[in-house]
Parts: sequence; C-alpha cells; structure tokens
Amino acid sequence: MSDDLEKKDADRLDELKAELSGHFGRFTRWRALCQGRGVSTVEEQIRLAEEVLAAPSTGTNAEWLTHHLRLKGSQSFDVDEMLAGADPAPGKDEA
Amino acid sequence: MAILTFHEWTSFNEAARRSLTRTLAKFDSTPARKPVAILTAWRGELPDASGRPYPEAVRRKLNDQANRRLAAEVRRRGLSIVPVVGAGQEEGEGGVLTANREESFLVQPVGEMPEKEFLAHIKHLLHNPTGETGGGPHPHTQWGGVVKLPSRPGAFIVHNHGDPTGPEDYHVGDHLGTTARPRKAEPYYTQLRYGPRASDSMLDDLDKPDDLGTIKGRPGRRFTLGDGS
Repeated sequence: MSDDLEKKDADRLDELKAELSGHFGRFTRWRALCQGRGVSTVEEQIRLAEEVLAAPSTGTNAEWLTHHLRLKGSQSFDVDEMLAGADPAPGKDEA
Repeated sequence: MAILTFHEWTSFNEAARRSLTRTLAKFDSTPARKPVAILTAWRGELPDASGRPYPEAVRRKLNDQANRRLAAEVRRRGLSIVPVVGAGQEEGEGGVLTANREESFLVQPVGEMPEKEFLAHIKHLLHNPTGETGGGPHPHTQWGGVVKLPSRPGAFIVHNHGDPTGPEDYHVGDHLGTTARPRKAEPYYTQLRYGPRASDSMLDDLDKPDDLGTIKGRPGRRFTLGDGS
C-alpha cells in the first residue's frame, strides 16, 4: 500500500475513533470487537468501527460494562441454564 | 419492647435504607435473603421516530418520565425500590475518560419471592420498562441490568444479545464478581442518593457540582461490585 493510502486510512481511523468516543460505550464495544476477532490491520479496524457506529445502541452503563468486561477477558454464560441447575456453557462472543 | 411513633419508625426505616453497609450486604457473596437488581429506564441514546437523537434536555425529560413509569411497573409487580445513581467511566481515544450517570433503582421483592420469579420480572422490566402495549422493542427497552441472586455467590449483568423481541431474549450473563465494597477508583459504581455523603476516597476528577445525586456539593456514598477486596 502506498504511503498516501496508508496516511488516508490512518486519518480515517482517527476520525472514526473520535466519533466512537462521542457515543458512550461504542469505543469500548469497538475495542472488544477488535480484540475478540483478532483484528490488527487498519482496514479491518475501520470496517469494525463503521459497523459499531451503524449498529443500534442504548448508550447505557449496562451495555458499556458488558463490553468493558469482555475486553477484560470475561466470557458470557446462559442465565437460564445456570438457574436450571446446569453448568452454564460459555456463550458466544456477543460483543 | 419500646413502641415507636410512626414518625420514629419511618425515620429508623429510612436510615436503614440509606445505610451503605446494609446496601452492600444485599450483594454480599454470603447467602443474602432476597434477590436484588439494579435497573433503569434511562437511555444514553434515545432516537426520535425519524432515528435522530433528541436534544439533551428532551432526552433527560423523556428518561425521567420513563423512570417514573418504571417505578410504577416495579411496584405493581410487588417489588420495592430504592433510588440510586448508576455510573460508568469509559476510557476513550487517548485515554480520555467520559462519565455516564443514570438515575436507577435498587429493586427487591417486598416479601419472599423465588429467584426464578424475580428474574422473570426483571427480564420483563428490561424489555418493557415503561409498560408499553405491544411486543416491542420499545423506546426505553434496555440492554440489561445487574442482578444478584441468593443462590449464587456473584452478581452478574443479565442482558440480551442485540435486537431483543421479548423478555426471553434476556438470558445472557456476564459475571461482575463476588464482592461489594466502597468505591475507590473503579470505573463503574452505584451511588446512594440520600444519607451521608461520599468520602474523599470515593470521588474523582470527573465529579461535577450538578451531577445526579449530588446534594450540597457532594455526591452520596458509592459502592462497586467486582472481584477481590
């Protein structure tokens, strides 16, 4: 990739990060998604940032905290299975 | 046995409700007597019918109205309410912290209630906090809430997995931890609205004089749920 294209992508990612930071919870959701999917390239980070910005969000503490915990390595579980007495199976990554 | 006047009884009762120690015990890892949840009908992102966000003043007004309706729904289900403030501090680009505060409620059964029945109420309240007609999702449908059950050592977030179509979609859990302790620097906490004010160790640079639950310049006491001491 040319230096110009790289610079353009890096600038675009910076813009998206700023936009994500303006909506409570979305920046953490994006970081958790990047981590969960093992994303490392700028192009993939841009795509995920656009995906997170386009998705509905409640902008609540509960939603942010879920992604914050996921970023720290938490795995989800099925509450109904837990109450039914079974060992709750780890859920899929819902971030 | 001393007989209290009604005024004395309500004073003692209110003092107990305000007690941080008593509140922490609701979330303790030792078996508590009743289940407890932290809920709100507030939404940080509240779009109008065309999908555009409401102006901040309108959003706040609509959230307040929604919380009043949530309180009525909670009581109608035989549950009690203690008003609190839920807070989260997100680390954004460049490590900049953004605080989000929500008028919230600690919710418990008034009498005895099996925890499955309690959780069913919570799922309904998360999906339809304001008692709207129809299947939803509704304008104030929530992502999730915090729950602590007597049979389980730790509190957890119960939430949906995106685009909920009913209470049954709220079955995903994420562990918060087995301890409840006074807040120090943790990025999420619950703040009591009334009673004694927060100690210095519970405060940080993000506190503002007009924050929710701040009376006479200081917020109420704060606690956080997590692991460790």
